[in-house]
Amino acid sequence: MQTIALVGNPNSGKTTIFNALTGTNQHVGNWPGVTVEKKEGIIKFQNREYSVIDLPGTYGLGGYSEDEAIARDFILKGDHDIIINVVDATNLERNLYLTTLLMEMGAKVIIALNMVDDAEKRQIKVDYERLSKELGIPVVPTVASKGRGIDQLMQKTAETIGRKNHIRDISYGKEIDEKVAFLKDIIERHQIDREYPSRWLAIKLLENDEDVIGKYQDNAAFKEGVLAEVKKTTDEILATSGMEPEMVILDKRYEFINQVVSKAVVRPKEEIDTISDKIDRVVTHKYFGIPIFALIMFIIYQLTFTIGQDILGEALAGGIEKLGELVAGWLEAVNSPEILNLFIIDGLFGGVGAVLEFIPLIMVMYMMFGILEDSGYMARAAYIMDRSMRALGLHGKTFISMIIGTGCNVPGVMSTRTLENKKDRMIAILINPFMSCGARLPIYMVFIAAFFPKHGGLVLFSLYAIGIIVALTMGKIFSKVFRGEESFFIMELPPYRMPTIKGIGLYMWEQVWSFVHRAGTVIFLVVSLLWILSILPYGVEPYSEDSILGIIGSFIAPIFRPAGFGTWQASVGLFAGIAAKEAVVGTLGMVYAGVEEGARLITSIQGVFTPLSAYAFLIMSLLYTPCAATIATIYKETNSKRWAWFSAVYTFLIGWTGAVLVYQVGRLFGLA
Amino acid sequence: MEIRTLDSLAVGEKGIITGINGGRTATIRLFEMGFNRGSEVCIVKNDIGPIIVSLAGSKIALGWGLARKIMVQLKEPSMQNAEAWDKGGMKYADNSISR
Ligand SMILES: Nc1nc2c(ncn2[C@@H]2O[C@H](COP(=O)(O)OP(=O)(O)OP(=O)(O)O)[C@@H](O)[C@H]2O)c(=O)[nH]1
Repeated sequence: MQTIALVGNPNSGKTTIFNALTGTNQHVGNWPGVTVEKKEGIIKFQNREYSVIDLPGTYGLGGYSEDEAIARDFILKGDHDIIINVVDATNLERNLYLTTLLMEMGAKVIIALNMVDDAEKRQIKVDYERLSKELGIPVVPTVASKGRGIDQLMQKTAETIGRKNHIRDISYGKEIDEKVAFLKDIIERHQIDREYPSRWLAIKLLENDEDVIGKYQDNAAFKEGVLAEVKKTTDEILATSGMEPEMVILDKRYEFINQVVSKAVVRPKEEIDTISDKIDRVVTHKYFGIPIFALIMFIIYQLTFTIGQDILGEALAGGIEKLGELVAGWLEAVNSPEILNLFIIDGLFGGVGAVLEFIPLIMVMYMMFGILEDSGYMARAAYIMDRSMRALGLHGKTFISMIIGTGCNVPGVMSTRTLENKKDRMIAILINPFMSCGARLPIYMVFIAAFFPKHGGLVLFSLYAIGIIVALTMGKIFSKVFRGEESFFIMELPPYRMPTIKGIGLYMWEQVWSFVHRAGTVIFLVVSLLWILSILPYGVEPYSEDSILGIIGSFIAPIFRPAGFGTWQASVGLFAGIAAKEAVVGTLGMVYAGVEEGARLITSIQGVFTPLSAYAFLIMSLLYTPCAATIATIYKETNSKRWAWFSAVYTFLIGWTGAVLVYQVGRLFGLA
Repeated sequence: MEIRTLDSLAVGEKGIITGINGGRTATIRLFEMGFNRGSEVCIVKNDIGPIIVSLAGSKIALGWGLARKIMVQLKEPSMQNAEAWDKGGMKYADNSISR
């Protein structure tokens, strides 16, 4: 099977093209750095199958950050038969830089000239036939988001894959060209076993590319024969031009690009002050930026609450309850064994059902996040937060990973790959779990419904805000502890786009599906397992303190007494939450469902918690040890068991301290 | 014309990049993202927080540290233009470099 690799700048539309080609639904977002790992898919075209690889966006082949390094390594390895270089038509000068690097490599390339609709709107005229001729690369115009040009792109790709290259060599000026040719000769004469074309190797050596040089470190012939010549040549160029060869080469690449662009692109004289600018003037305003962001978030939580919970959620909860009663009646009618009844009614309906009730809420919340993401606002949020982040010694992009963490901490932790600096990345990983993810929502909702029904939006907002504040505070502490060089901030702000139904729907579906999926797998397993523990040893009163589960819970419970929720049920719930956060509600639902016949979780906990201890419990749930999947991701990303353990333990301590503080201080003020 | 650092430009001012005065990594990074010699940048925002510039049709936010490394030649002294604008809606002088 032949392999097609998608390569391009961040936010140029690679993933959209990937989805259009393979019919998959990978996450697309209107900001740079959505894709941070390599994704594979299959396309069948004219009875042949091709493997398609979506790579993280990259501006060059320097591989400065983890995600760019993934793209770079893949491209250099050369395990592909053709590269589709996705190029943003509104932004050719900058996008073509990567193209020139691909051309130098002698890779087989075809250009998908994407976003031609945007270009048209902004009156940027691209003569793509001319562009193709100037570069020696086939060019296919596309509007990936509307699926236009995708067939032609695939047609052209299939044609080009079997053909010889016609790519033009880029000239770096007479002097460098001669030196390149000279080095190329030397490389060939030394017959070094190499995977790359010799001209490219010569250029990279002149550019002093450490990775490439490192590859041949152990090769004696290379070291003595070639590197010495490179050094001499470099000095000569430095002497005549007064510039490092790599700078000269960089310059010349852009010179080449400018020539091409001047022939193939006509831009309007004055860029029209677009709506984009007007919106930006407001949302990135120096005083109003952060309040606007806070307001948007508050509105989202308020709407989530009223629409997702009070209207839709109640309806679904009622439905699940009715179904439970129906099934209970039916089970009795068919005389099924008592133990099975217990499991189905308490374990499934009481436990897993309590989790599923929150589907509408997840839908509404992530629909709104989807709108924010698709519109391009998220990158602005990162921008306005940069100043505060910097004051805390954090990198502005850390905030992006924090926002992604509000969906789920797993992609949140992974998105830190875009941070170039090791220190920044480490901090971003360690503070991500404090960002409240979707799986924690059910816990909040149950307790809000039971204790704070009038101030739902406010309580929800306070939890998210506390999560952010704790994350930033810990970030500040870590930035003092870790050492590392100073890092710089640079980020493209994508143009605002009208969010599409499809984009929002996809985003929402992704969240809902993973929620339902976990409910059916992890949560089901955990609840089942705990259910068994709660009816054993045989003959014990189910769900009582004397069951194995009760004994375990009672053993843990004392440590939560200072926080006001030292019951064995709460302890077991929190413990289960380490498997997956929804399990907290699942477990509570199960253990309380069995105690009072037919009582809903909300009414059960009203007798056990007070508003104050409930809020303390929420703080604990927000901050304590992340779920197993997140810990595993932290292990994978840091490549260190120690950090994974550390993140599990220190978050627990912080959660506990926070809960105790809330409870004790609250009591001092006479709250209960 | 005078050479200044990018961070010293005011909103609306345009400059042509003449060079980057920084370490190797920063320099290459900036080049890769389009801050190469000869390209035109226009300041969109420069108050607190990172500077926003428009560059070849896209908007880029960059921190002060980086902005200070970018040397530009001022293209349109904005005061003059702003005055011209105030005095009866004269059009901006058309001295944009044709590509
Ligand atoms: N107007 C328009 N928008 C597009 C087109 N193609 C993609 N988009 C939008 O551009 C944004 C970025 O698309 P992605 O596919 O996520 O870009 P990417 O290159 O994979 O981005 P990274 O994952 O950050 O590297 C999304 O909001 C898309 O909906 C197009 O042809 N026209």
